[in-house]
Amino acid sequence: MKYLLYLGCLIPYRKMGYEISARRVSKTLGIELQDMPDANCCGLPIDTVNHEMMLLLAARNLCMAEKHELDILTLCNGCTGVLMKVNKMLKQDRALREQINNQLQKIGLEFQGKIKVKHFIQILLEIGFNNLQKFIIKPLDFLNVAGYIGCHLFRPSEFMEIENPENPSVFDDLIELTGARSVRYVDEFQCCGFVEGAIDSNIPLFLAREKLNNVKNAGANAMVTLCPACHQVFDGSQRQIERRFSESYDLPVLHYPQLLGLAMDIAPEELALNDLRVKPTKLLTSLTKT
Amino acid sequence: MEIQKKVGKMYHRVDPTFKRKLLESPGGETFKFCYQCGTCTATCPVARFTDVFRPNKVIHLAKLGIRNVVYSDAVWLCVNCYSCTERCPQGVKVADVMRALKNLAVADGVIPEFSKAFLTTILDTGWAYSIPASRIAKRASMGLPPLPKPFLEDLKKLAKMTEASNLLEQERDAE
Repeated sequence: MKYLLYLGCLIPYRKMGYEISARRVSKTLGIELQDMPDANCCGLPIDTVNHEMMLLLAARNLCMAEKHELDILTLCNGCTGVLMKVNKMLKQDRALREQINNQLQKIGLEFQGKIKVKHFIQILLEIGFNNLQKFIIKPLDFLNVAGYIGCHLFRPSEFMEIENPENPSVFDDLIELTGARSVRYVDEFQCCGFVEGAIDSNIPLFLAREKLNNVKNAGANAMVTLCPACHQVFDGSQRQIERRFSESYDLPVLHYPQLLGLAMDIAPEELALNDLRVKPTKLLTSLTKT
Repeated sequence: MEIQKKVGKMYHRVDPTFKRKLLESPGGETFKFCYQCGTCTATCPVARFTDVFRPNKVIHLAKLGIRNVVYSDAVWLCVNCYSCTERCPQGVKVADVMRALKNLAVADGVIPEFSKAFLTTILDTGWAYSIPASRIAKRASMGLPPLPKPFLEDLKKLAKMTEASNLLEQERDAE
């Protein structure tokens, strides 16, 4: 099992813990990751400026992967959404493919539609729960975890491959795999508001605060995300929200590979748990007690 | 509010041909099916916390061709979460319509600062965020491989083809 690792920009910019833990967990699970030396931005941030430019940026990444003859593994939901969507659009729509190829020709590339784009959890699903179960050495049965899947992984359902887009249960299964209890809460499939920060800095705080409250009321003692942007909102802005609304959450937000890694009995240092803004101190003490 | 000021009275007249423009731009095709039920607004996470953005209202104003409202802050508040697209009973790809409207606004010269910054950084570094040297050094110290380096010349060529880089040049000329 060999994949090209597409990092995107937010992970190296702010969320190294996600990259480190994903690499570490992949190593144990036997997922071989090859770096992508010539990748560029997925295109999502400038979809709003120029749709065609977004298509070209995404298509260039796909062409690079075709050169390496490997499928792409993504960690960020935004990158997953764009690359998977554009890959399918170009495969299905001949006129669009010809138009994009005409332009790519000028930089010596051609989209052929030979590869697939998969998010990290889709690869876990391919490995299968029965096989993954063998790696779970230290079940985290003391934890109540609220999963936050993130929009672009399952919407728009026209292009994404997560089952049951109105109420996707796949992330719950992945959390229960680690031995933790998956907690359901109000509005768990609603946007975190990360991109809103650029235009109005208030709205994302309200959006995130509401969700943090819902998570707390549901009795969770940790949150888990699949996307660096969602993580930035719930972990990176948690202190700011606490100050702004005079509330206290103290809710550690883990990247999913970190949770999985703990259940696989990988040392917390190797999973970069110290990279989190809200320190998971309580969680780690309960972990050593078990 | 930055955009609101910019748009001002730029487009104070109703433009009946605007709907044709929207229908022809990629992503805008489905907006004609909207029958104003308001499901998009009911499901919108942003509409709960602001009075400015109502997706169905934006679509209605676009149909009428009232561009100064369509080009205002409202449409940029869309977070592109696709909840509305999933639930529209008429199959309107609401999030794509919002994106098409943003593209039209940009083509008419209404572009928010953060979008311009993204475009500049992508053309300068290949990525939407420019990663500081300290981060790169930290990566190396933790044994992580170096970050990808795309051929920036290629990206610049692509930006020229799509006329995306014109936006930045216009700006430079104005200065």
